[in-house]
Amino acid sequence: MSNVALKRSSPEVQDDSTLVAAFLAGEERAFADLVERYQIRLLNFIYRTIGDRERAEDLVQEVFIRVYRHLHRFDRSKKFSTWAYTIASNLAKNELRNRSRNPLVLFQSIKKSWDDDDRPLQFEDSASRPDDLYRKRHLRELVEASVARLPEHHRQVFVLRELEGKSYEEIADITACNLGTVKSRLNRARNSFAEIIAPALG
Amino acid sequence: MRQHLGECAACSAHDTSIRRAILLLRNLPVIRPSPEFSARLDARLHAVGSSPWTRAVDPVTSRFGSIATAALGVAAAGYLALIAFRPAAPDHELTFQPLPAARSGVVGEVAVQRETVALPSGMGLLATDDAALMPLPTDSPMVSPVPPRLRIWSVAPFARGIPSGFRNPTLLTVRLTH
Repeated sequence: MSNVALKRSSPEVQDDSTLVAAFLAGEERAFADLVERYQIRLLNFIYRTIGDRERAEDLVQEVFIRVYRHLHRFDRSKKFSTWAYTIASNLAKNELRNRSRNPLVLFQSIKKSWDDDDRPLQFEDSASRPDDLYRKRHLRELVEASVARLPEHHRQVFVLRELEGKSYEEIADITACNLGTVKSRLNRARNSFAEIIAPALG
Repeated sequence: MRQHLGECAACSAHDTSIRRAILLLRNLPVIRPSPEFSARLDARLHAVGSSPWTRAVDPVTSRFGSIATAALGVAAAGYLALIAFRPAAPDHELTFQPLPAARSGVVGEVAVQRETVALPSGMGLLATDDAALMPLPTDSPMVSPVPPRLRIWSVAPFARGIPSGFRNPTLLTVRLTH
């Protein structure tokens, strides 16, 4: 195996199941396509769930390692994306569980993500005026903090639906909840989020 | 719902506040992996090694795997035999309270005799310390029904920390028919 993550296969768009089949048939480069396709989505999902960018990146890598090792056991009648998100969801849950058991880890993680140097700035338009930049950053932090205040099981459903655009059925599969629970959690999360952020918006 | 929102000012305001909040959420910037993400992942994948299905068709790896598996099997069997036939220390004898059929309280099973035993449905067999077989109901808390052809190993050697031994180390293989 060489440079699995870097060398991609042919440029034409192939669906997930084709890539999975190609990889299982020995075409290792198909895995690079899957990584390319899912790395940003999974990173955002995990980051919005755990709130620590650096750790989120580690966990995304762990997702791909597990996918790589266990793809031969993946039930190909199911959607690959649901499986990948399920792995990501479980890793994020474990991360939060470990943090709650070890507050020191939580503190270190939060402090790290608050360091100015670690903040992703590329989204900000460099042509904007300084006060605009400040306002945008403040707003982003406000929204992220509001998401972080949601209970974990609400937050996951909320992020999967509102940011990742997953269907209720997919969310139910990913989070191992029934459809009713997903809808109920989503409704509560939406209400809570709006309540949390409303005073700050004026 | 839409009609109600058009008529109810309170619900309409609530709906608007939720939509505004979600709009803010959806406008969050997309986080992108760091520049070294691919290199790190690649290194980790190298550490994982070749994928399991690739390994399965590699003749060298496959042969090595077979030998290793066989060696492990022999080692495990030896270990189990060592434990199973270790003399029981008197002060380590266990009494399994939920087994009323155990005559002296020590459970032993395991082949010299081969026999076919007909049992009524719902009954299992318990081997007692003198290698006799005793029927008992399978709904006993210590008895679990198993599917046909499943090899049954004595549980005791696997339970670390539980002193165990067989007072009568006679191996007994029984074919059950219902």
